[in-house]
Amino acid sequence: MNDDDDLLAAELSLGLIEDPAAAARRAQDAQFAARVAWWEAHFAGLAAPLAMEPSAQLWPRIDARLPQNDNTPGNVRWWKLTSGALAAVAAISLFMLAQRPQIELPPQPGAPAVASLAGETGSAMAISYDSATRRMAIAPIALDPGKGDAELWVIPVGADKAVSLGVFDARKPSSHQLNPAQARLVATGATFAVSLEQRGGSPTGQHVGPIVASGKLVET
Amino acid sequence: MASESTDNPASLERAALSRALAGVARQDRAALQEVYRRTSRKLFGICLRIFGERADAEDAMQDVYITIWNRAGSFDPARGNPITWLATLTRNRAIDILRASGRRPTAPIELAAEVADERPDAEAQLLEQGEDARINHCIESLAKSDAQMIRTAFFEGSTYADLAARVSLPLGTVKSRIRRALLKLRACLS
Repeated sequence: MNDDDDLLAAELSLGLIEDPAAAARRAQDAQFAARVAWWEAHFAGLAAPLAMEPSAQLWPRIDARLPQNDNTPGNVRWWKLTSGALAAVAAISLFMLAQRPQIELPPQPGAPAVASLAGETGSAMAISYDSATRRMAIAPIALDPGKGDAELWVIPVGADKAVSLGVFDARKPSSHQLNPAQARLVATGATFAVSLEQRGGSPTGQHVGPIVASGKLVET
Repeated sequence: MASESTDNPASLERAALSRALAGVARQDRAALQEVYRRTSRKLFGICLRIFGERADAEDAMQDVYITIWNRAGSFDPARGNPITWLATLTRNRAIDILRASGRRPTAPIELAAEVADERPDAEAQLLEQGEDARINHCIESLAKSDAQMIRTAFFEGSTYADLAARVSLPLGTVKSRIRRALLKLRACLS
């Protein structure tokens, strides 16, 4: 490769030029693409780590933006879906949820399901839920809502939007009776999340504050 | 240069990161958290250099990891180093966000006087590991002002035209200086 072409590769990798023709060439010319990659790989080394870390809230915020899929090892079907397919499945599930006739199912006997909600620094809260009685017990482990309130959300299986279950006392265990509409959202495989909101909870219907803990409801 | 052995820490880290990226490609969120744990500090360093302040850098980091989630499938461990792939993706994504926000840096740059760099190499060695050290060594061997312009292009997404305006030199001068510097850099890196 001559110098001019190689310089073009370097200029493209640095963004010194905004040349659609050069960008297109990268897509078509393997040799040229390899040179762009060579320069990129070297320039990437300019970014030495700094002595600063992102805040502890950053991962929960990223986690909250991921599609709510099931990644349990062994659940091969979900693993093979692309994120686009996941979004479609979520949309269909949500639609079906909305269309479902309002029929009261008889209580299912069995042991309560549990969820362990973890945040960036580990276990933050435990939830146990008995679908037969629709009673939910919340045991905060490490949650600090500061001057605001902790709000509990559920992301139903297959959905991608969180639904608020309300604010709760982050400083001591509590027990709650879910209404039938809420109980329909809370099933094994659903994800719970806790966000830190202003006093009284998020005014918008979606979390405004950071998600500090999340975890999936599993059978015991 | 020592040949790569499987038990050196850098190649173990690389293998672990490649495995985690393969998990992300299967849309395994625990794998993304693993990638995050291993890389957030380095990638945050890139975003922080580009945005200059924490809140914007963290917003960009969210975008970066969502992009990693969506694109992990296109990383080929046989053809590249995962850390390089992630750093390049992060830098390019952050520059895109910066440009899209219309906040392309325009502040004038005062080019350094042409004096030899006195920073001991040891400091650079401490900061960088392995192959990163090479570009940092090579860029130090350029005239300081040329190194400064290349760093600015990398970290601030400045084009030739941006740079010319910022250093108050004719576009042609900036272009030929950088192109000469790039050729020197290539000779040093090869």
